[in-house]
Amino acid sequence: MLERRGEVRAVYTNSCYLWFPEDRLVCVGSLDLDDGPLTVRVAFPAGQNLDILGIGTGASVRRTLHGLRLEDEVWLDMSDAACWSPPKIEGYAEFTVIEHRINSLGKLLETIAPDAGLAPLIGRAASLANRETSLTNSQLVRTASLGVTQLVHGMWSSNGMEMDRGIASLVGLGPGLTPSGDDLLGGMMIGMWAMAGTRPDLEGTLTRMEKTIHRIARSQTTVVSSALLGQAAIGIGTASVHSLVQILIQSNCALDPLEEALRVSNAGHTSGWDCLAGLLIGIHFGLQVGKVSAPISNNSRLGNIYAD
Amino acid sequence: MPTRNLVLKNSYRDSVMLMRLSQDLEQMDGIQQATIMMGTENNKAMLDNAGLMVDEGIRAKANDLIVAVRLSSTEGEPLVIERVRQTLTSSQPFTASGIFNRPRTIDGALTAMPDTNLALISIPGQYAAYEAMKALDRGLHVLVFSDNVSVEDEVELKNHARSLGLFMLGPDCGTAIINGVPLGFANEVPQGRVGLVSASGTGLQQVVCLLAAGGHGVSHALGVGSRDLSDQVGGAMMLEGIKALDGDPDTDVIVLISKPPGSTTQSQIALALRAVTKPCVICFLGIEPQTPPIPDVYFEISLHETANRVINLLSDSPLEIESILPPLEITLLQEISDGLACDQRYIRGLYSGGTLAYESLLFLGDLNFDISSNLDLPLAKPIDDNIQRTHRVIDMGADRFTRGVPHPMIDYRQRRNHILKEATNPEVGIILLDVILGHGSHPDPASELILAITEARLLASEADRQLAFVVVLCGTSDDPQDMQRQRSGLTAAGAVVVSSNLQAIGIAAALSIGDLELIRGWK
Repeated sequence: MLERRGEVRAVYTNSCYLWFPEDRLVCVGSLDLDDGPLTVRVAFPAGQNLDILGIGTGASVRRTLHGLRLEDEVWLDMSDAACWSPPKIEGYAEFTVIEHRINSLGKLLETIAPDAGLAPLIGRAASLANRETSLTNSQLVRTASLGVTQLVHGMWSSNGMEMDRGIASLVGLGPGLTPSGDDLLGGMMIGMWAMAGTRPDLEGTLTRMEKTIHRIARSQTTVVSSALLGQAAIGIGTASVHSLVQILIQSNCALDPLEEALRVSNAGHTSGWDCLAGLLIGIHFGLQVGKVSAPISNNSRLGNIYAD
Repeated sequence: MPTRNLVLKNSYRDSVMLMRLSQDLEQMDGIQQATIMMGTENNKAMLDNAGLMVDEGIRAKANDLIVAVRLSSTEGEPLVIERVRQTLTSSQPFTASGIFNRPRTIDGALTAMPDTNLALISIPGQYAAYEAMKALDRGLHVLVFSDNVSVEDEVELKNHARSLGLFMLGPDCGTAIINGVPLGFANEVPQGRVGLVSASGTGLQQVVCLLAAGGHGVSHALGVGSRDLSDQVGGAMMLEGIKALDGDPDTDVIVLISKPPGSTTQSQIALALRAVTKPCVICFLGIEPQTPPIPDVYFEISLHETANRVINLLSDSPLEIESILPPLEITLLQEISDGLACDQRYIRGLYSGGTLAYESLLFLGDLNFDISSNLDLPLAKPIDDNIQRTHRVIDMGADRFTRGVPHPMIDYRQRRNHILKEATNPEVGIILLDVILGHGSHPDPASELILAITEARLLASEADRQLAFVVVLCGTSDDPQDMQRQRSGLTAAGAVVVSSNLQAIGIAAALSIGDLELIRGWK
């Protein structure tokens, strides 16, 4: 009764994606992968890797309470699996400090960001969060820039339809298995959820956006990206993204954000950079919405996201 | 010009592969423009705006891959499209069908290939020892590429291998050349009369490449793993390698390469060398062994001088290796030096090879440079990001930089990021890099570095600064990357390119202190 059947949808060097009905996706990968949503990190069986195991696209998968069976040949025992969740923010830094950190990081990243994907938006994060649009010759960057502006405008004016249009123009936009627009939007959501700890009234807006993203992403982007975006929409990204968030917004944190940002940037071809651009926009937006700290309510979902 | 769309249904290729596919297609004859994107509505709109969307693409769904190509002409269109299909098919990820015939165990592999006598093991470290033991028990020599094998397992494996008269190379052995066959990260070198045993991968590569430049080839190059010469492991495979090469009729000179061995191991090796019948050249980087001289055994303190010694042993008349390598262009170096500001004297060594980084630290330390590094050495301070006014040598192949991402010998993105980061530092004047060619390494490192160097120089020039790039290009003319093209490309981008790490260190140091006399006497 508790067994679910699925199949392998994609296989890469150190990982594979397993698909289950109702578009549920799991990434199974080696211990080298970053912790994150949808990811199961495993020490592969003795003498085996994905290639030798013969696990290819279309291979059958069975999921039970205790683990995963691939092609009736491989059993991945998850009974002792440790769950990862994003680390808690242990106190927010002063807003002026956060602003200084993200401005400094943005300036540094802007100088080294590649000209691909939506990385060029890194240098415009602050202005985009403040509803300014700057146009460029790149169609991709221009389209995304307009989408972000529309979304931010909608958020400022509590205009749900405008927010939806902004989101729709970003989802599925750009190159990559996880299109650049998805990664940017995901980064924004993670950044905004992180800042919403200081403004619980932002939760309502973010929850609405989450619902829109779930609805749109299903049909408008790839199944892999939709799954990852769905997690980002509730504020959950990879471990290195959350580590960077901590460094940027937590008080008493003197670690170098640039090193962590460079680690984030390594994901995919431009996915990491696209996510960084979104993260900076999201945090900038959170700063501009309000600079008054407020305690996190016990009923807030944020308590769950950043739970121990 | 005609536009065509090829649609691959439900295709989930990772972004880096998609990017490389795009590049491959755009370089194909007959193709003017190629774009590869998932078939989402927003992407189809963008392709349509760019005039790259036709019927088949219109029907694509979000999980389909659209390959949109604009052809240069209608001539030969079917052939061009067929070549595009082949390129896409040859990069196809694994499918469930058709690979059940591939052996999944060592026993299965031996059944398929009963004459096999070597197993190369590259699996997660905690399982590598188990498989290595199985292979030894089946009479195979073993090369363990994996790291994260415990030292206890390594000792047990090597003792077992010795008892069976087999080699257990590794763990963490990235490089070997056996009977002319390159294994792991290895260069295409001629077969010759030099046998090497090395506990250092890039150290081995540097020496064999310098030998190849001098026209000398390799009989065998055995990588024994980075811990082999520790006192715990006792030089187990180094000692076996010495014996084997001494008895090998195809070897005339034996070379040993390592970082400093444990003190007990050092004595055992000295003892073994007394019994060797062939000339030996030893490079234990960083130490001059305190043993009485042994006839026909030469200790050298650098990889460069190790190769120099070997070449001289094999030559009829004395020869300096500098006469074989491309000459240093002193005039150009002077120009570069003059272009650096007075306070722009700090070096940043961004190495992919740990041994080359180590050698760099040693020689810069000898020159009393104040250095920080992620290498754990007494003469280097740990890196402190708050202190920029110091020289730095970074081994970017260290675990911290390779978690979840390919090694910097394969993937240049992290180094690119660090190059650009250092370009924004007004007190950094010299960026020192290694580029390792050969099998397993990046297929065209120059193409990535040229972009990074150009971007960095632009960044610096916006602040009225110049930057010096010094590159040690470690490779041979037979390596798959076309060494001459790599050299030309990097030189055209403004880098000073040399073949010897020692030369590169010397140039970087001379530029740093603003005195090229240092290079003239550099040894």
